[in-house]
Amino acid sequence: MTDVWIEHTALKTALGEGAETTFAALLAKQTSFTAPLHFDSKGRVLAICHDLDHRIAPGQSRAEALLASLRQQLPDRLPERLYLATTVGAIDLLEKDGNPIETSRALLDCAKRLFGARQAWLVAAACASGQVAITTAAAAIRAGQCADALVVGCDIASEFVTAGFASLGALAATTPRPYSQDRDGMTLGEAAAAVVLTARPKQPCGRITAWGETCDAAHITAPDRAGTWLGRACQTALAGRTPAAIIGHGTGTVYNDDAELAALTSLMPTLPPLFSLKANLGHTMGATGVIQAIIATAILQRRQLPPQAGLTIPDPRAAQAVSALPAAIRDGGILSINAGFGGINHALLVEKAS
Amino acid sequence: MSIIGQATITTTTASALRSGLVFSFTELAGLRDQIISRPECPACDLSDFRRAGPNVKRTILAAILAAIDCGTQWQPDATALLGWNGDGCAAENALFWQDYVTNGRTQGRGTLFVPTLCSIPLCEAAIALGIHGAAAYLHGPDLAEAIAARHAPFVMTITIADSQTTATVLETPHEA
Repeated sequence: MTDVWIEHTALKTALGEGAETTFAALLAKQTSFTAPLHFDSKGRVLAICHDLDHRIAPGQSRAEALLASLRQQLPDRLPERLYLATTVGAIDLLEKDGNPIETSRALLDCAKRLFGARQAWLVAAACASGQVAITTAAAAIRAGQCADALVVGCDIASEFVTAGFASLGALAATTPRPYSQDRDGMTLGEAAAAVVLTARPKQPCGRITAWGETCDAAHITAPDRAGTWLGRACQTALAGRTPAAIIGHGTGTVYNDDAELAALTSLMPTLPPLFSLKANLGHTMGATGVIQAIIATAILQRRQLPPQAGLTIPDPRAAQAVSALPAAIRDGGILSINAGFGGINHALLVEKAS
Repeated sequence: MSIIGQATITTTTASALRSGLVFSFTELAGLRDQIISRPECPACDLSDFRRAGPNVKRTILAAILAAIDCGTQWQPDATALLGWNGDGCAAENALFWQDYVTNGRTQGRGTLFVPTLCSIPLCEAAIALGIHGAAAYLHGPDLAEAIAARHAPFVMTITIADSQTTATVLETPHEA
């Protein structure tokens, strides 16, 4: 089977640009939650890329500005094939005039133009979109449909999505505390991230080894708290291997932690080090899976897992796995988990390039 | 790859490809009753059917009718769901936003927010039929490639376009 490698990465988050900057911020337990200036969040904080606030041209989506930040970090010559992961795309275009518009496809058109792609795919699997896009591209490479592909994840902080999650009671009162006993919800963020996947690497930084995908088929917004089908996805990705560390979905909601910890503890009686970057970067929806894959490569290169930001008293099921201090990791891959509305589960195994 | 079941629902009729079943209806609730009264209908959970919008209702019913059309080959645990091209969520997005603005931008409605994701109709079909394979909506140039990337023995594709919903179940070369 053809190996699929991660060759180039690009990252734009509320903590800065590039994998190096972001990973250093994660190691330092930096967080990035502030009030947005581009809409009234009704007192809520989000992870905002404030440098974009004065860069948006009239009629332009904030998402386009996020993608433009990525373009500058990537090589001039990019794959002809593009996979875009997003939940709502250029949703601010709808906010501006209220007219119905296919906001995800509007962002796909924009990405196709910005990255010079000849063939563009939109991948929408709720908050699992990022990892689903990576493995959809990896499957195409493995099948010989293409030699390489650019995978981009992007979602903005918007009034639309903030109002939506608020209506479901899913937002934290302050900032998120994944895997803590007193967690009370998620905090939204905006980000864009990109990886170039290839079968012909020159200087790879990681390898996509395996993945598993399932659907709970239980509830349209809540995960199956027993974690049965999320566990099945992880089991498929791991295929008997024990990961060196886990980047959890870790949104900071009680339901997420219950499902995730039930799934993981059913597979591994002693959990390896566990970490969620949503306590630093917020929940960046369609971007989060791509960010997690990039951070997985950084963890493998440095053999160090960032500390868990926002940690108070750990959930007993995670007490041995989460830490407020950076943790050294042993050999093995990084298991990255995404989950989304509708019960979509995705587990991805990223290994060292060598 | 071969088609083992297919169903199409328009604004007034529902039909299945292999079994030749055809239903006329004026309301989707009436169509639901006709479909689930068929003796060959697989076990399904329609407890949340009433709260769904028309696109979701049509998707659920098209999926059930396609499952009926598969006959004994229907295997929900080995089936992945793939939303393919067609309409996205522009109408649902506008509905949530207009309602939120009309209500003074104070609070959105969760029941209108959830359908603003393109993958929601598929997941509602998964809940109704207990489908546990991968679920994703893709918009792209090559359906065969999208199906192959699901890595499932069976893939149910669902396309919603121009008030018509089509669910097609394909058997693929992938092993369980």
